[in-house]
Amino acid sequence: MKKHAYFLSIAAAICLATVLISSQQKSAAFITGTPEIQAMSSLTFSPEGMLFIGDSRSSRIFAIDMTKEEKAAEEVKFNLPAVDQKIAALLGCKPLDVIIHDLAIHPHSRDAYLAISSAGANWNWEYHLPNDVADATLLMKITPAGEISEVSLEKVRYSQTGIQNPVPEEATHRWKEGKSLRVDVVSDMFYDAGKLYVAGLSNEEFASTMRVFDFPFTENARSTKLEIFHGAHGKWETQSPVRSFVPIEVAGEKQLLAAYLCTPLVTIPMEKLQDGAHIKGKTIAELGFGNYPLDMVALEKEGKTKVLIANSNRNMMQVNLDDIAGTEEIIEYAPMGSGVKYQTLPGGSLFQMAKLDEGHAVIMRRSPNGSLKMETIDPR
Amino acid sequence: MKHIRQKRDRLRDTGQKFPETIAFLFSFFSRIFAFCGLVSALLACESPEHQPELSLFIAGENSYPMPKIQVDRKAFRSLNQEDWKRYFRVYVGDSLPQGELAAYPVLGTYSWRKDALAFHPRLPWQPEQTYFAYVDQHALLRHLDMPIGNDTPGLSQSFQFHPPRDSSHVALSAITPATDSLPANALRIYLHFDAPMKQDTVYRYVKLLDEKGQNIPQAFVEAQPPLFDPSGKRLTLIFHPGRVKQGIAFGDRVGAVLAAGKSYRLQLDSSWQDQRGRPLAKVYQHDFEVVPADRKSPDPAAWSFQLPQIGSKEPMKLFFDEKLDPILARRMIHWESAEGMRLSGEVKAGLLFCSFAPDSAWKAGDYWIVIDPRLEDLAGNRPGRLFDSGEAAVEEGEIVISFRLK
Repeated sequence: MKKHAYFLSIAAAICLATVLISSQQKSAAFITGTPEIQAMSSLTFSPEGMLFIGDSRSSRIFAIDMTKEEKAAEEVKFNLPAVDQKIAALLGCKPLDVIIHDLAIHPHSRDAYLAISSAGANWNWEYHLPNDVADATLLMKITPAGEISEVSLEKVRYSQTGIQNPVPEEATHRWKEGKSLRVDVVSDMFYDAGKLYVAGLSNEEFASTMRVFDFPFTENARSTKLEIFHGAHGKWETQSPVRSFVPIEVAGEKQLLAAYLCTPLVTIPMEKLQDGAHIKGKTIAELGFGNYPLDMVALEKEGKTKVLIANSNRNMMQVNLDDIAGTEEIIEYAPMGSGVKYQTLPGGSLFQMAKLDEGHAVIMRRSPNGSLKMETIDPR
Repeated sequence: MKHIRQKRDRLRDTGQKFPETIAFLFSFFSRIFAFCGLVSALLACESPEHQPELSLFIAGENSYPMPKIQVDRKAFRSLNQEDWKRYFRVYVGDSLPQGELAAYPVLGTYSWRKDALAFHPRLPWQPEQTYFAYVDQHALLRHLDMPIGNDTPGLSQSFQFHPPRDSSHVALSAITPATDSLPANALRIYLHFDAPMKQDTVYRYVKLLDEKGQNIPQAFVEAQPPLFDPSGKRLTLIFHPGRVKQGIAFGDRVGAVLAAGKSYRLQLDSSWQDQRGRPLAKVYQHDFEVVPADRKSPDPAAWSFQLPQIGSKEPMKLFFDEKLDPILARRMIHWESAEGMRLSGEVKAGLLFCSFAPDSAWKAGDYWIVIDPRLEDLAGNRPGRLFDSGEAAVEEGEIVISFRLK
């Protein structure tokens, strides 16, 4: 009898352990293994060096532990010509086949991490974004010295969480014929103070959504529907996802500065990002039609915060944070150029931009010979 | 091959001894084998029968075949992935790259398959791309502490993989307007394909035949570039407007394309290819009769509709007074709330009706159906303006139809 009880308690302990392990794997726990990533739709780092990979296809977010990377010895800069040629050589394809889906800089090593596919031959329309054309399945690294290598995701320490209510695979884009909206489950991400902000589409009636995940991941993700007034279209819009955003502070209040296709620029109070809420952003500028805001970074120069906006079909734009506070909201038809004051900076033929350090960003642009160059820039 | 034999001879001449268990590379030659439509680039070897031997080959994904290099397995058992990355590399191009790119061989891994070492590329080989496989024999022999001559050559082979021949076809999935009768002054025909089509010289594949099977030249405007939609799957054919519009010298001289009472055949040549090079599945023929010219403008005031049930998402149907261009109708008619907010949902259009299925259920209230005045019937007539009226196009306001659900 005593023996029996002993066996039972062991069995119970094993059951309990199994339950604990499986429930942990479902959400927050870090495990060592190979994350099953279907598409690297978006990349971002936490200041501690945690790499977040947003996967629209599997509707999951992966956190890859890269916190042990060593700090760069000194301030680094990227000035590398023809990186696409080397990437193409590694992938066994032509340089124009290389698509860089996203770029993020490791906050310690300052190495550039890139989500990559080799389907460039199919990228023949400026309104297609990389994720419309192919799924990025390769993670590569470029050091400031120009060494390029693949980053293996085998046997890495990682955790993951699911994205609830993703837009379904069969939902097709209204004017990108034959393209699925699924690729925009994650359109951009940013990590700020223990929380991962994820812009994208949900399957709700109001499709544009900002999701907030605690990190380390918990079961409690918040999902807020976004609506904005698009001055150049003269109407309220809910369908188009945020393409790029960055947290800023305006008059003591934390806001997300977000930009959309055809480039309305909007502020969204971060404290209003509550689960199930439907909130309206404040449109503060119309930056131009026929353009994707590719990336935004907030940089410091001489004690002032300046936001750089890299565009697919406009020059680089710079908005000074001081100019945002007093800007009036756009709530009726407003042509391109309306709203907050901005400077245009050199920066055509851009494909990617990411923050390098407090005062610098890395950009990737096409050189006159068609090759892809990495450069370091700073605000004016 | 010759220089390798020379090297072996020289090694023998020096009288150096080799451990029996460690064999050495002694001969390579390359051949390209083609079998069952697959092309295989190989580096193979000759070997005395008592010598253990090993294949080194380049594995392809997606049923692409692979070149082989034969060397001895036992000798190379001690080598690991990193070693092989140093000594057995594949590059893009047809020669060993010079300069920086020499440090960028194709990514991949090495694995043993029976007596062979395979190189697996990280991504599938690109069709039509030339690759250059290279074994640094000098460094390899030195690594294994084997005797080497000063001029021990590298072993190389360039190769290409060709995808298996694609026997599939592209198909014409629909023709708009989906009708076997067109007015004599019809303006457009849309061809819908199930894949993006090659866009150069499309007009040589499109013929309009009369009742005797004779080709009617200059039937369509040969726009350059051709009028494909962004997906490359829909081509708009426009009957030559100079032959549709009345009183145009060109039309008066060569005559109208279509005549009422006659029948015609639109024929697509099966040699027309899609962007992947797949031809059309067959010669497509679309026969239609021609009825008298349509010289009447669409009149939205004469349209009727069926009101949907409040609380349902059922499509609301709108019936036209004549056949309209469904492609334009789908784009140019939309539904708005009383406040002028465009309702999200799906518009479907046929020749004589269109329907709107809202994303959210109908609520009681007033609505607008908003019609772009550039909407056209099959003959290019717009509400309030005939195609060949001779009037200049004027900027017109939207046409609206209001209805109430209660």
